[in-house]
Amino acid sequence: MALGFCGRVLRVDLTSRHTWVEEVPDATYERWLGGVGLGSTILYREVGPEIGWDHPDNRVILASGPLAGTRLSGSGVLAAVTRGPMTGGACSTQANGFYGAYLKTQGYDAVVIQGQSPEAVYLLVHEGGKAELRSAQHLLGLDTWELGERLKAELNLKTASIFGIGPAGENRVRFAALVGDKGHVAAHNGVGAVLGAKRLKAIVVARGPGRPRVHNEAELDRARKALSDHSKSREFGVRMQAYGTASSVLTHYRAGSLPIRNLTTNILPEAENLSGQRMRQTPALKLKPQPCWACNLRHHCQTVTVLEGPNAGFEGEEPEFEAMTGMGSALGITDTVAAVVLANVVDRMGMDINETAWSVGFAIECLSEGILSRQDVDGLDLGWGKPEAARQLIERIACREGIGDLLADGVKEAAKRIGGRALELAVFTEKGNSPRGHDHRAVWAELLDTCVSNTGTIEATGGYMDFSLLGLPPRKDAFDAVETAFYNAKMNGYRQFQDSLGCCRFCVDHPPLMVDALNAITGWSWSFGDAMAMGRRVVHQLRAFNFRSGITAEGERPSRRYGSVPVDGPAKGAHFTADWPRVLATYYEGMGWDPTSGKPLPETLRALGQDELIPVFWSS
Amino acid sequence: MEAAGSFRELFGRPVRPGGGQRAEAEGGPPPVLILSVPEGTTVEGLVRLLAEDYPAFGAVAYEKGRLAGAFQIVIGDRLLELAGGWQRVLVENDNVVLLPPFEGG
Repeated sequence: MALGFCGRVLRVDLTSRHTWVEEVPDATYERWLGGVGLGSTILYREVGPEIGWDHPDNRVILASGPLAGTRLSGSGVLAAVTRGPMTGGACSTQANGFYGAYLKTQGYDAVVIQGQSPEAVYLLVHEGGKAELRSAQHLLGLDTWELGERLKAELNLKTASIFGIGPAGENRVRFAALVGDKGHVAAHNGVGAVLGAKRLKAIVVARGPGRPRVHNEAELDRARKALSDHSKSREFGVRMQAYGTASSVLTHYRAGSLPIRNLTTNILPEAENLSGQRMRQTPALKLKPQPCWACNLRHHCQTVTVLEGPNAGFEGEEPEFEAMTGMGSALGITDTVAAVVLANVVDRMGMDINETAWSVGFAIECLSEGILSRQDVDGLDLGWGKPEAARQLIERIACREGIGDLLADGVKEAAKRIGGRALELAVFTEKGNSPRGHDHRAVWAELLDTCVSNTGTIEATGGYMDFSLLGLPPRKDAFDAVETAFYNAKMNGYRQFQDSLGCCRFCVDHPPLMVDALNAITGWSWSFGDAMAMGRRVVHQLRAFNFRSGITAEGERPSRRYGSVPVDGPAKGAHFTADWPRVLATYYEGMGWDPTSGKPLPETLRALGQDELIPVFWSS
Repeated sequence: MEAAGSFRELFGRPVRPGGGQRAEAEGGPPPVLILSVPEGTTVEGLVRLLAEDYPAFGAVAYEKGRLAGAFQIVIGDRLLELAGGWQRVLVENDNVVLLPPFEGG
């Protein structure tokens, strides 16, 4: 069995309430690693184009990776792969916490869930790999935070990873998320809705006795220290340790990439109120470190308690950057405590905070523009900077009540149903997903990536990249559309490699050192080129999965608002989509795809050893 | 010139007595560095001058001898790329904001 892996996955059929163990050949790991790599190959093999996201035969693969459970910082990541409801295509989304580490202590690299239970159940993995499905009828209606607390007490487990769905998942809100371990969220493309359709309320993995088998402990320790030094010393790491990811709020604001009032402006003088620095200066908030597995950025994740005011006693996690922008600037809210509370309400309901923010902002703008009436929004006092009304709307979305039911299928679907000018205001991609909580009109690389990605969220961008590893000079101009497309294409694959390892991107984000760590664990001799090839295989496999489901390049464009030109602020006048066909053609060519259809060329697939995908794209 | 973030983080040491670090930690405005540069100095020239004076900054600003894309610059409330680019010549009272590498999450 390949070192670094358990060599087996836990299979769960909710229809028959049957669980079994499946051996995984070494060759599968050598080709796909774990995480999204392992997940995508199972998804591609077992979920045909006729199987919709809510069909019992859809699979949810919850995977760890070869680095998981070691002393490497943040190596407890959960990677979720399924067919997601937002795009109807592949979903790959990650959450940090403890799941990936604990799953390996129980002897599994992944849990593969299929079927549909007649009533709500939860999965318990404990006692050296024993798997049980237990009734969750008594847990229905609990929010994600309550769910974790209740199960922990009920099972008397001191150390367990508990992920589950909230009311939104139970009600199949299409952007429902999988939330656990006190505030970690696999947010994108509606994995929580898929679990809701399967009536699986939670997955509990106790910490077991197993330990990862490592080829060269000394070499792993060297790589671990070097990775730790890198993540702690780089500029963003220094700030994140002290102030969390929301430390970048003011920087984004100054760069024109803070999302403000549904992208109607880039001016918000009080933006700093949403920063991690301001959270720490607010007397009404008490923060306490809540690190993930083996995390060396110990002050990044914290729990937060509201000490005074109308929300006194409220408990949650310190919101990440996207949560503070989504529930803050995107809705015109600049009250620090209000944004913190709202962000946690979304997490507790179990929804993707990005799509929630675009949906609520869209509803506010529709009301202010007279596209929706007060009656249409159930009489809610919606408006920019009104947290109480936003909270009421969020709870309605989670329960699919009134106006909430319209928004519960995502902002694109809501805009289509309202029709007319509503489509001009909504922020989405034509594939059906929506961007992270940034204003990508000033971050062109992410705008393009969000549109062309095969995962329902960004696929190639985000985080650190040393372009010299790809034989490229540093980028010259972030506002050169063609250069943006070219660099996106060249770097695509790296993130998929990273998401196949089982480690947090914030902690482990130095390409050569990541490869060193992988080799130290497995005893392999991978190069960075091998890692990139593996990641690009994942990209192509997911693209083939989507393509055979009818998801083609036609949907690879932003909505009118998402691709619009900023009217003010630091990026005023910047127009990325002015020559969108040229941008796409450059990206497709850089990927080795047909510049018009976006179909991977046969020679590209052959070079990656993926001949079997050629007929998917070129059969007719 | 301002550094949105921290001068200490970006430059490796305070850029003036006191460094403004305490003010930043307590939520005050980022410190401002007032510089006089020779007439005709471009933004690229300014970055080169700073990199010489502050090697820690130089390590961020340059990758293998070339200007890196790791940080952004705002000049006159506009992103540099949209305000004349690296060859823009600085003029009296130009306010240059250095945005250290940042991410979301």
